[in-house]
Amino acid sequence: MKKALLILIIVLLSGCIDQRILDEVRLTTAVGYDPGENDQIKVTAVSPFFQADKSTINETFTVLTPLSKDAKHKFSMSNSKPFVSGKIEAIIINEELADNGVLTIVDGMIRDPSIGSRAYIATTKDEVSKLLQGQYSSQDNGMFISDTLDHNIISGSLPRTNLHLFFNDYYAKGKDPFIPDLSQDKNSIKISGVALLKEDQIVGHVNQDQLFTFKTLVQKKTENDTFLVDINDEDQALLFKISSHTDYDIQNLNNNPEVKVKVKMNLTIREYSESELNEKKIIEIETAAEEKFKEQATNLIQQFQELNVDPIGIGQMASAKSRQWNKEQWYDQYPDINFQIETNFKITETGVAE
Amino acid sequence: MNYELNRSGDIMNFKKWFFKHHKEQNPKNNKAEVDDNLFDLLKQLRGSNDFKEVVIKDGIKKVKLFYFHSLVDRKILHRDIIPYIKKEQVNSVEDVREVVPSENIETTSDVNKIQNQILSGSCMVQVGENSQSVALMRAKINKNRNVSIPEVEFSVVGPKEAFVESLDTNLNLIRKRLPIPELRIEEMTVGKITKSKVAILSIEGITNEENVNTLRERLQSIEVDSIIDSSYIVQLISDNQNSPFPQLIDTERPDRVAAILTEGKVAFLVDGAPHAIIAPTTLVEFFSAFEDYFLNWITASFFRLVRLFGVFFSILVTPLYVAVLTYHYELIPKDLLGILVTSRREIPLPPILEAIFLELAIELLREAGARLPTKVGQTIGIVGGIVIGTASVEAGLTSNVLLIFVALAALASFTTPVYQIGNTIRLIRFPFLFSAHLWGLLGVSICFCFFMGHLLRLTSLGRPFLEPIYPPRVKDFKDAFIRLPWTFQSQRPVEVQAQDTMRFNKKKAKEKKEIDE
Repeated sequence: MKKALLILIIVLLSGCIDQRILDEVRLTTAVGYDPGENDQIKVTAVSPFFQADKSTINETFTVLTPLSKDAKHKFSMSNSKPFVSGKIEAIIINEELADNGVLTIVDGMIRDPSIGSRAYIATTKDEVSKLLQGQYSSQDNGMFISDTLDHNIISGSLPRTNLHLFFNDYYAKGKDPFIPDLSQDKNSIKISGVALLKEDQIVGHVNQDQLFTFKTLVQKKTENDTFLVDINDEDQALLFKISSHTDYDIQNLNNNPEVKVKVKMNLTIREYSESELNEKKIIEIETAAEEKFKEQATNLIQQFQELNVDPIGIGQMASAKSRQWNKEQWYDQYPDINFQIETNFKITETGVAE
Repeated sequence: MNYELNRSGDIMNFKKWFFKHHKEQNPKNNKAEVDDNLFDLLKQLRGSNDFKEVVIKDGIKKVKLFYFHSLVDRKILHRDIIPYIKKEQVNSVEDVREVVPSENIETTSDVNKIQNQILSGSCMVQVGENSQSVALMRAKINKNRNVSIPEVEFSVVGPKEAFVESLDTNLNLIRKRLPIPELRIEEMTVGKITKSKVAILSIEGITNEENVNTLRERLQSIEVDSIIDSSYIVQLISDNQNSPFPQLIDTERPDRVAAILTEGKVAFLVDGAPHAIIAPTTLVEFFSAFEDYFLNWITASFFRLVRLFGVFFSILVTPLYVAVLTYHYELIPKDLLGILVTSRREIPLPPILEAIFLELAIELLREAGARLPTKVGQTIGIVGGIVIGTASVEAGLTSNVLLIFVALAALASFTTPVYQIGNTIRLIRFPFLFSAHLWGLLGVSICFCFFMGHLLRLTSLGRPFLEPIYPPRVKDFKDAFIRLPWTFQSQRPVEVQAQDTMRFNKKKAKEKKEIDE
């Protein structure tokens, strides 16, 4: 009797569950936020419209609203199917809006359990609603942006980033988040660099040609990236990074900290403007690459120190070493820390041609 | 008359409920009194037209032959019995014994015995009109199917003999494979009307006596009057008769029976059934084909894993489809979204109805195929499958993605080597499907837990059914999901609790191999 009652209750209660059948909802794959009039936000949603011939049409919906999550409700008002946010792959925020703080916008995103923390969060200087409107490929733009960022993280210059890592960096003591910076490029979307954030506000940028160095510094281990080096102002070589290993050694932590950056890298030569290549030349290329990297790294770290942001997470490493570590004190010290960069580059292969 | 009988029956039932000490009347006891003398028995038998009564010799002492012409081989009668009796002087039953050159002669005056023998194909010779003592001679007609190729458990390599409907032939098939005196065959009869002969097979010194005793007790306690096939017994003696899972394996391969007997398990055969029943067994054993032992252990293990995957796939794929499409669109990989959405766009039915529609179509095809003659059945299967499948997709009733899943699931459910468990898999898909619709993935896991709980409680002949997974017995994993090479199989399964746990010396088995190389 008890068992029968239990089963009856379970079966009857199943009526309370909210069904969301795949083809009866409007999937949102990307959302964009622009500043609107009267302190409102202009929210753009990207929704794929799947055609019978397996192609996809990119459809965008735009609405003005004071709170970002309210947009979903407003979108549904003008559509035959309810909008759902479980498939959001990319969140794009206009930089003007981000100056007021990113967190107020993405707050709704972390409160929604259906949004995966592997979604990308990115910023742009262009108008997001226009950026998301174009038909850049046979996919919708949410998938397009997500795929673009995906492959650039796996085999490219973009360091690992997503919603989860953003919040991890944001809440970590002694580390500041960064997010990819996108821009419209004629008929496509381009990764133009990385935006650096202090707390949740954008304070600076790292541009595209510095990304190789930035990724090497920020991630302990990296691989699959290309690096263009000038040798003696005449020749050029394109190097491919097989692997890199970056180590930070913090000394003299309490009174006058010093940081030693050790970068080990294995490279191969992909292309060389001169046809002759011998041992001597290889060593020349190695030194040229080391010098270029050192110069870029010093510039980047200087930029970080001037902006007083710490995307590498030196503070976090320091806090792990000392009990007396204190966030405010650290950021006071941070701009004056002396960084020493040691590089150990090795060209292990030169390709098939001899 | 009938009405009165019914009434008296009703009254007896009432009495049984209200008076505890009332003795139930046994119909058998009633009959025994009537049959107590030969005259009454003959009178009863004469009621059948196929009962023959022939006077062989007329003289001072009439010699009469009684037999059922439907049970007796007349060749034997005319060649081996009648001529000899006619030739010689026969004055008593003992003389018959002297005269007829056969070892299968018995003289008795036990009416029960006479009745059993005549009804199982003996002929009776009576000397003198009113003699109570008679001679019984076996003259049973042997009309049996020849031993043929196993059809359900077919294997490409290995022996190609299958059991037939005759117990003697079946026992011969097993005994010739186990030429040891320890092989013990215990016969008994089950079923008041059918008097089916059941033979329990075990190996003395290896088989745990507890298993044999449990099986014997259960067989003896069967109260059903007719046992037509061994599957009746399987249902009657199963530990849990309300379980959809079969708890005893039936096999048509004598080689498999011989193999499991050496493992320490018990088997029994029923006269008239072309199957042997193996006990105790585990769930995993249902997914091991006997062909696994004929193949190299690596390939055999791979096929076993494929089969196991097939089972899970067959049970879970449609429920998962329904659950994900109804509740968890977030889980669909982004590259698959377009395919799923476009395939379902035209379909007016929710995923559950779509799934039920297709599952039902497949079940109908299977049932229709099983009921029709082989050749027509095959055509129905192929034509029905293709035509109904494509038509329902074109009509927009089902999505083509689901059609692929359902067809694959049906295909996967055919991979089980034991027919009975295949039916179980067919059945338990539906509770999973409904719970997937009601509560999504949570429902699938609830249903899974429910079945796990049920399986954990199941036993086969009192031994745990989910062994070696639970209770965890690492030793028995050597022949569960994968089959390790023969040198690793030196110990009998823990499951059967054999008297002698060692099959052979592992060290010696390995040494020998090295010398050969």
